[in-house]
Amino acid sequence: MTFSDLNFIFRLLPIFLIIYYIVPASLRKWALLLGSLGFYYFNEPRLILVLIAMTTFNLLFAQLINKSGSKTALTASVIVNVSVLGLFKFSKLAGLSLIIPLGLSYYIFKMISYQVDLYRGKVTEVSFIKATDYFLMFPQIISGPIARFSYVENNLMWLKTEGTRKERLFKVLTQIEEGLKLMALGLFMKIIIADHLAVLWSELKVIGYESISTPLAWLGAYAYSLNLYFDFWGYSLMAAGIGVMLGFPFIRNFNQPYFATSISDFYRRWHSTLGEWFKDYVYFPLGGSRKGKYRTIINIFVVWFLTGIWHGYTANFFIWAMSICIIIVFEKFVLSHFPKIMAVIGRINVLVIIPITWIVFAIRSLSDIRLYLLRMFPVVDISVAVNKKDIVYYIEDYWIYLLLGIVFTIPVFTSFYNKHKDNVCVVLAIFIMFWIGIFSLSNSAGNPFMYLRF
Amino acid sequence: MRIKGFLLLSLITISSIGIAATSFCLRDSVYKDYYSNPVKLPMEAVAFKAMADGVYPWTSVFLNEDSTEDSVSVSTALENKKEIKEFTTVDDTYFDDALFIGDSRMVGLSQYCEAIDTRATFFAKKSLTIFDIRNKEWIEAEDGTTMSIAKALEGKHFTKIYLMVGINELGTGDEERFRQVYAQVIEGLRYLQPDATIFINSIMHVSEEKNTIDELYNNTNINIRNEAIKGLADNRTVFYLDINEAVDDENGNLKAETTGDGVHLKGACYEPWHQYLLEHGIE
Repeated sequence: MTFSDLNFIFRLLPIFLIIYYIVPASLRKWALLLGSLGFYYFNEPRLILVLIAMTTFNLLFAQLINKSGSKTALTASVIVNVSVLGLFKFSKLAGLSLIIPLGLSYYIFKMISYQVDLYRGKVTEVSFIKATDYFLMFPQIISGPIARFSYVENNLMWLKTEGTRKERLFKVLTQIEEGLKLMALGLFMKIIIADHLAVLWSELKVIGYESISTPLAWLGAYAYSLNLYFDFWGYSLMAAGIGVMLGFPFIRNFNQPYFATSISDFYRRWHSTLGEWFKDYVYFPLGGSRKGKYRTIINIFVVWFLTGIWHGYTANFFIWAMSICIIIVFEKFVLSHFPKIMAVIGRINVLVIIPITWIVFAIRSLSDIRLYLLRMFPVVDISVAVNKKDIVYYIEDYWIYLLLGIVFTIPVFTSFYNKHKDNVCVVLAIFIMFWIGIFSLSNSAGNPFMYLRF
Repeated sequence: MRIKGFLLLSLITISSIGIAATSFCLRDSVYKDYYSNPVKLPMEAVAFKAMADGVYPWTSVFLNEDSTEDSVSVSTALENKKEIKEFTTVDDTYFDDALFIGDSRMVGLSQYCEAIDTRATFFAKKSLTIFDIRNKEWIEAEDGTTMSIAKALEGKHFTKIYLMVGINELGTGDEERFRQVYAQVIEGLRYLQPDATIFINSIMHVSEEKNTIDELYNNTNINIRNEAIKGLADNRTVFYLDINEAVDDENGNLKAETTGDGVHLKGACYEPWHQYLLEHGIE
């Protein structure tokens, strides 16, 4: 059950919120823990054991690191965490077919972050309830965002508040309202924009890449880029919104990436909690850019190599990660010496190169990647039975989702929302967007591929 | 306590309760066909599923079922006087006055079989069902409005009509209901285009992989539906074309290399279907 499940939206979440806010403020962290365990058990009844085992292991090591400050204990805990992640992720390579537990990467990354921050003194005490809430909290357990431990420490609703019952109720309702707005926007982005553009993308596979026209190949690349963006941004907004409903601060995972000035800048804005995790726990410990040009290049390579295999071990992810790595190195060491050229080329890279790299990311088979790229750049004619008017059909069918995708990508949208989010008209617009999302969800039974009616 | 502080929460809560209550109250009338296990699906979804089919709380409920079965048998009796015909090979000009009606697979034929597309007329739409053909205004006119099949055929003359629907309906009703509505559609087409020979294209199979993993869209279910509509052919004016003969592998599944999703033919793979139609003309 994900956040875009009707049972979650209309049943589980409201019931949980009522219980969460009925119990005294001091018990809410326990309510969150129980709710999170229930949510995870509902989604992953057997492999919850892995989550419990890893939580127990990390709590024990956290005590050890906290008491002794031992680097060996930290190293051992990181090695065990990474090994467990590697074991499940790459079991197929060893001929095993282990099922990857839901959200494994995300909770392991949080566990590593917790241990390192404890060693560095950023986390000062080991609290069972706060640490388990941090590892297990249901708004982030499936796909992040990868928060830091300070996120848990800043929950306003866990503090006993003064005031009359009416004032306290008002505070709770306005807190839920703030989160609900984000959740409704995220739901709309995911269900209306991302899931519909996902259908366009899968239809290209249906036709066969050798039979799509060059304009359609480009349209497909942009449609997939928007699909991926709104799928993840929408999901992240829903997760952040649920977090806000529970009293946590807003956590930003996407910051207008398509208006970045370069590809390095793009990846500072895209899935930024993952990027910052790699920066703080891989890039900086390796020396970052402080140890000379060649070490910097090696460090960037290590980060992108790990990013690539984190997404998957097929060749396409390696090519995707390495192509980005090369461009980032080129931007950092060559283009940065020519600011005026960088200003132009950097943006072209974001708007043209990034969609091409997403094609490599999306298509696992190298021969299919070749076919697709040759349709984008028809230097060799591999086309079979191309319908030259195909792009017209797709624009007719999907123009509204493409247009919405472009509108929501423009930074003005976010700044307008931040400025006017309490305006009655804006609230009414979000209300309508919420029900449009629910309408679409009701007719797809929660499965985006149900849109693929034949 | 100002409501503006939690306006969205109030609106969503009130509207949600209202929609759920309406759906619950009308579960035995307007929403009868949409009401399913309330444990699995919240009541809010019922109203929206119905809305997608143009059914609202104020929509009138008709309890009487149409009785076309009788008229089918009457006209079948009349048709029986005509002679039985056999398939013959034709060329592409055969499609000059042909009409193709169907779902996304027919849309694919229109987009990737130039020989037919440049000659024939297509009334094809993604997710089209036999129920839609009978009940809905689904054919888009040039001005963007939609019209029923009866309206679209006004003033037109076709001597061949090819039908291909059935996969979208696999989860709706049973094969008997499917056959019954299919018969009504054929009867309607005969009435609207009395000179037309009607070709029922079998529902195209899915690939072996799809067949194995999909509990609904699999070849067992498709074969049951195909068997049901096969009997509608009288080999006088209505013919059944088992196009799976042209697109299947040796195990009776859609050839894996010809499909990207296990359901639709790739753009480059419509030729076997085209050739099959050429080999199965009726003069």
